[in-house]
Amino acid sequence: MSDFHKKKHDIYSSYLIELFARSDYSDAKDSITTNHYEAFAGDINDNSFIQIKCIADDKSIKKIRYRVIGCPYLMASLEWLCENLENKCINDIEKITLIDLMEILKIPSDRRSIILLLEDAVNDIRLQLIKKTT
Amino acid sequence: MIGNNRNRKIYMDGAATMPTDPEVIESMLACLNNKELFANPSSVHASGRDAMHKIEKARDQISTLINANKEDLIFTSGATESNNLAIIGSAKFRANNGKHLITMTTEHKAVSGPFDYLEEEGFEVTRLRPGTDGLLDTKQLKKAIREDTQLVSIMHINNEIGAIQNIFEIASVCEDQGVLFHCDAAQSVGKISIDLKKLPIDLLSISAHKFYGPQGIGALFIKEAHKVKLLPITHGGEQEMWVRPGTLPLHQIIGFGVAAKLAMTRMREDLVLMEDLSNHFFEKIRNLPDIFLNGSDKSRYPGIVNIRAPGVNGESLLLLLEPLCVAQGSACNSKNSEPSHVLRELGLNDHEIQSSIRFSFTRDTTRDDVDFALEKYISAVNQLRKNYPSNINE
Repeated sequence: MSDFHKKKHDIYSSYLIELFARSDYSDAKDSITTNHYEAFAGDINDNSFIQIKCIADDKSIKKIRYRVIGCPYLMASLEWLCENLENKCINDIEKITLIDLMEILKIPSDRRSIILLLEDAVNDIRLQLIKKTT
Repeated sequence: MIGNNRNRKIYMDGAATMPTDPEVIESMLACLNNKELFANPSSVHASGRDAMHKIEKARDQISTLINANKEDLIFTSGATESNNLAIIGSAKFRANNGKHLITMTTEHKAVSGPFDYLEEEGFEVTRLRPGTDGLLDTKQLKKAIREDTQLVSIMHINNEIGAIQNIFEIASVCEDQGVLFHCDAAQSVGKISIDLKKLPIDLLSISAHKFYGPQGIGALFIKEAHKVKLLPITHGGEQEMWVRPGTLPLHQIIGFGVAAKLAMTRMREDLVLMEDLSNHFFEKIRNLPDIFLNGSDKSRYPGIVNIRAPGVNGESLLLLLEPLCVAQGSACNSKNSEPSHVLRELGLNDHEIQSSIRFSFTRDTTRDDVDFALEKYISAVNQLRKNYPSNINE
């Protein structure tokens, strides 16, 4: 990260900037190509669209990556989400309360729809994984 | 990209505001530090008269820049106030003759706002749409003018895309039809030549900080101002030809005058620089896939380049581009998350609008700055595009 991005930003929190800049779970950096589950959410025409891909066994998510077109809040949220979902037991996915991200990343209330997008995608993935294990 | 170690600020948002010229700053400081000059320019004592002499010198410098009579120029707080005064003041003055007004959909908020207000006050407003190049077809204007049309207001250089309207043709149509013509020239005065002895323009708005002068000062040219075609919109004094009250800010006006004087000598040189920077910019992006210019390339002020990169979110792009100072649209509209109304009028969809970025150069911009900006831009666009969702069933 450049020194400039380490400076306090007056719009975005420093944690958001860190996640945005890091993008360790970006599918472009370390791609998932085969035998994976995936979910999409959002509207590509609204410039707010996400794709979550993961590899899982019967118990847990082994690897999870995202692709996205969206604002820094959405990009940072996905980075946080994947960090918190990787190696997570499938049964524990539900315990992640995404609405807390509003506070954690200081997401403004007019961007609340970001949480709905994440919830849609996570729920989709969770249902696919549960279906597979039952 | 985000790890690029070149972190100096590069300013490419000149359309929002230009850096104040050092000579302008010097003149303003000299004024503020001169106790002999400290006086209200409207006061009749010697110091007041001295201050007024300085005001008149600045008025002369600004009038010379646009080849207008200095008696036809009044000072305001900036182009927003000039636009409000020109549009609301003239519409209300002529309301008994008719209440039809004409403007364009791509005007700055400082023009569209007064028209919205007048509409609520019972005026009828026709808003003409540009072509996909951002330019007005004057046939449209001829068709739109009616018996009861009182005012046409069309900007000279568009602040978002740099499109230069054929203001001579537009002004001539209005003159032929006997309709008052106002032009928001905030982006053009001091940058391209304007000769008000040749252009049949009735009202022209000017902003000092758009051409290296101080913020907070502007002017309105009123053709044959002594005949008074405007009703004041603020009240409480007789300064500025009974149309605009308020104490004149001496140091700002002096700075404004110096900026005008400098523009007279540097305009040609500045324009050559803008053309060179613009050509260099396009040379660099010519072979890049899916990068498009927004607006006209034929009639465009070269200091403003607005491009879009589909597949990229503009807000994320702006963050990756820091410390580069560029814009997603008008600074006066930046608190509004609505997509740019100007780009929408060119026929772009939300996705295309949000992927657009405006680069606007200043006198201080170098080819090296353009190289650095584009290096960052290309890298950021590639980074964001790499992570674009795949296998989408749209």
